[in-house]
Amino acid sequence: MTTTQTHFNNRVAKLIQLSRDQHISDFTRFDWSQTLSDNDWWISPELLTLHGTSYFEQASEAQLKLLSKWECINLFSLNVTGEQELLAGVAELLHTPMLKEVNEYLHHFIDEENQHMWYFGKFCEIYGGKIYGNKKLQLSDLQFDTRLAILTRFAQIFIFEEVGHYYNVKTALDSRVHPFIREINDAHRNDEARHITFGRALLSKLASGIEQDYPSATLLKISNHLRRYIKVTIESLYNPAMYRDAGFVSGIAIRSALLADSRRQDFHAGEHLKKIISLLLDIHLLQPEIASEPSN
Amino acid sequence: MNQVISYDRVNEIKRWLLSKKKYLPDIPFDLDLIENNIVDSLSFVEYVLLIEEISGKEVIVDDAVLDKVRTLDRVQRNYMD
Repeated sequence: MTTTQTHFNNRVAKLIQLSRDQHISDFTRFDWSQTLSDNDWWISPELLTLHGTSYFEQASEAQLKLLSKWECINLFSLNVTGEQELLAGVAELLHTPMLKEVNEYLHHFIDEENQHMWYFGKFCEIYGGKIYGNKKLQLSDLQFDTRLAILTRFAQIFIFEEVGHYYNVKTALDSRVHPFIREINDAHRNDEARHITFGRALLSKLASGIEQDYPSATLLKISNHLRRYIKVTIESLYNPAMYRDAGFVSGIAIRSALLADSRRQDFHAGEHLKKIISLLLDIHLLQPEIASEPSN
Repeated sequence: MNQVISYDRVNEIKRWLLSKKKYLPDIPFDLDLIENNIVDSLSFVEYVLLIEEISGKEVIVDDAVLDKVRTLDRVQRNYMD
């Protein structure tokens, strides 16, 4: 067994141990009798999709707080629908020979993600009265071999979890946000930190050598696919329904204006996505020439 | 008495599609938007969000959705009437 393999196995064993040591039933840990109001901050004002734009400057604090409620419901809804989609993908991969050494961890992963979906869904139903629906349609016609299919799936999980983790960490630490919402974000970030560590290790291991093993056209296809996934994931943060629920007349108009705003694009390209892009470039799942192009 | 059907709202969607596909002179109401690649997987989310905003109705994205939105006629019938 190589040093790299031993190191990887030790890391997975440690993650399994941590999942067992830190196991708490999310079904009983939260006090759902807490009340939240439209006058609370539900996410940090700096995390609002309006932040940095003229919309933010022109809005009153009351408007921003109401929007923070619906942006929180949107983020939690994305956790429900996004994790549902990704979990189905991971469940399909259980007992795949190529993932034999991580099979046990995948059971913990599924267990934890299932609990996350439950508490995020419950929160949305109790405090928002609904879960915002997923509008993505799977029209993918990509055909990859097993290794690339696994890599693509875990790359998507990694992107999705890292994008959400940014919001969890910031919100959990922000004393302006209602304590119950901070508690939920804190619980989620603890589990997600392990999942992200696992995702990084697995991606690095499986992707090792792909630049020699596959033609550049195939790698370009994967890169384009992941670029598109990143774009759709970021755009899902700008849900028109949440702007309408917060009292804005046209949700679509605000979404379009914000997505076209260079300050919002800079935020996502920089602080928000930097670590994600950097890893995917390092392991050749993204192509550098595409990475340097502005998204549109 | 016959109900007067207004196509104003679905025409807004048609204008949006034409703005995305500038090479098209027109989009007939019975044209299959998916098969003709006027709406693809990348633009599908925007398309659905626009239908929701204009109609005020939720579009549930499930196995049946494609058949409900694949032509402008169907969008009119399923979401605008």
